[in-house]
Amino acid sequence: MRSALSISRTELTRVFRDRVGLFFVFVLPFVIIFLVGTAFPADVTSLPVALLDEDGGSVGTDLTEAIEEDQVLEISEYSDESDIARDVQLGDLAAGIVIPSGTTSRVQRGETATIELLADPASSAASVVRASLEATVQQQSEVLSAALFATEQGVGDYERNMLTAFDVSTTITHTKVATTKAGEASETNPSSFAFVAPAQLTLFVFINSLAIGATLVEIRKLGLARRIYAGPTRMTSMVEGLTSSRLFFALIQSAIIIVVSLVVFDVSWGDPLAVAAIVLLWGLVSAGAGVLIGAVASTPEQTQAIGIPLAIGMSMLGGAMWPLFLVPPVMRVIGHLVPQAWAMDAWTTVLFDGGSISDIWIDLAVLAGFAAVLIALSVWLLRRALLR
Amino acid sequence: MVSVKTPVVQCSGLQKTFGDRRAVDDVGFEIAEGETYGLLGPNGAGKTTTISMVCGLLEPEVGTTTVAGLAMGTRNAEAKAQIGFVPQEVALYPDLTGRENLRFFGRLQHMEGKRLKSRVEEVLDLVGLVERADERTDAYSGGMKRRCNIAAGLLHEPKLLILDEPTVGVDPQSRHAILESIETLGGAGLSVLYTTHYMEEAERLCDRVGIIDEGRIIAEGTKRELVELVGENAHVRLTGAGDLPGFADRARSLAVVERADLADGVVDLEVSDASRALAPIIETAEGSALDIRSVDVVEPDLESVFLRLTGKALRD
Repeated sequence: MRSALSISRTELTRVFRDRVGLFFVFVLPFVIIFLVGTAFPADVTSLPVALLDEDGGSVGTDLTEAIEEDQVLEISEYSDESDIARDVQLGDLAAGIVIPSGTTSRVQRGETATIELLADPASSAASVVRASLEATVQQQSEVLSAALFATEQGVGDYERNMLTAFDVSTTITHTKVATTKAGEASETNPSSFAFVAPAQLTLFVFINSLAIGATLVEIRKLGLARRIYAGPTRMTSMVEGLTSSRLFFALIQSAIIIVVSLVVFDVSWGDPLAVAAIVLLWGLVSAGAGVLIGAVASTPEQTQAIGIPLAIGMSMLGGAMWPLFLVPPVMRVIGHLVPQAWAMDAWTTVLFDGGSISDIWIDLAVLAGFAAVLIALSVWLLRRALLR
Repeated sequence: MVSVKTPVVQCSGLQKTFGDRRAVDDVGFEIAEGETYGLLGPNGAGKTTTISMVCGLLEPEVGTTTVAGLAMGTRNAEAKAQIGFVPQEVALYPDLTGRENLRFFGRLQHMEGKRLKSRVEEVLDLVGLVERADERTDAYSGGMKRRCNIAAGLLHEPKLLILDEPTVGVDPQSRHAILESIETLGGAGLSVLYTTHYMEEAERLCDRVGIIDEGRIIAEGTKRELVELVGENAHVRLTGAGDLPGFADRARSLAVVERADLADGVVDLEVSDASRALAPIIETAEGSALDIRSVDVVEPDLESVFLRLTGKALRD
């Protein structure tokens, strides 16, 4: 244990002695948080959206009510679709939602009804509206499906079953609001820095962990590993020391980003326990990846050449460069093949929805799985590589 | 294998194979307390593989090693703690100072506090790096790095110091300093296992030498024992003006001369004992009216022993 701590301490000393490296750790993340944070719209909770209900039936009415409850959207009711198209083109509206006539009858016949979204496809605000609308429609569909199913099974008529389904749905909604304190949650994410700060934490902790894999290659190439192992230090201690230094490094960088963004950019990070859990698991994932690349690379330069593009690519896929709701659904699924997506999901729940550790347990479990696989693989490869 | 008194190291029957190639084959030797033992052989002879097994970096397929009475193995920390290992590479953190490097390796040897501090200063003094101890080692010259490399192996006052070709790539002045410090350590009673392919280093430092080639120790002993083993003689080489062929003929008849050849104006006389042969050779030359210009005595060395044993030069 003492040997592992000595190795870990020495490795950290080396990392913190590298001035170029320190720039990437202590300066660049905040420059990017500032630049990206100020470039994003300051308040994403009030996107102006037009709503036209041409249906007039029960489904249209219910959908309208549900959309109007969405806190992200600032709804204005329109009576003419061409007015909506004009205002979207003029940029006065982020998007327009049209519930076509006959929607209720289509739904009652069991057919698929389509809700129209009028928007500029290139607009990121429109993507936010689309994601929000999809979530609302999905929720409504579940209620409708339940009512239709009950009607088909001969349990009362459709109108009565809809009322029952809504009652149940409303009860569930009230319960969620009560437990997650949605009102308080909305106060925790007043600025766009709330997305940028955890995204940059996810990005930079991972990038820097891969980049300092170079020191592992150096230890192998300089014969330091052989020298250490020729003494009374066990291989396990050496691997523990090298891996834990990467973990400490990741934790230190995470803590700095959290504290500075809290103080300077007024980012409210939410439940401390949930934050600590994400930081720890993300540190383990990053440390595992860093040791892995240090074990397989042949030269220190190779770790940088492979590690940095790899980390950026994974961050793009996983939503640490931009929110995943901006990308097509298929890319969201692919994105979740990398750990960044699960980390960002967890951050979003904690920072934007006021989620606690119980709300992100699936994300944490997946991150723990990634960490376990990466660390097991990297330790196995490192043991073989150190004495090569 | 020659048995020595109170051995610090005993290894026997060491064998290691990499793929199809047997790198070390039935190697065994003992090193006594205070003895400097050299493994002399060309590159690729199996020296590094042998010492890797002796210091517990590699597990032999066959054979055993004990150090200070403790069985050596890759997981035997107690046995490993008896050894100071100085690898062929400069195994130091380039971005730490000399003193920081030594403190780090000292801590890995479970040293701490005052003992660690005082030992670091002692070894820095021993290798002459006190004044440069607070500079990063990547700012050191090649020789300074090598000396710091040795210092790291001495910190914990090991029973056995293993040096794997410590002078490779070192300038003559630093090489001299390194050899001097090793002589000092040997003189102070430290057991040393020294690998080299420089014959002159083995001759200068080692009490006994094991000549290793193609993974096997083919001969072992003191320099004199090895020379006698192969029956190698000294040579007296004489140049002068006059009847050189006549002198060579007369010299052949001397009892102390085994063989006499004349080539390129030099008479090469092989003698069993150069100190006894010199006087009668000079007398014969004067009796042959030869005007002597130079007389060189070439004693047999380990290079010639190696050449005689393997049919190839050490640097092949």
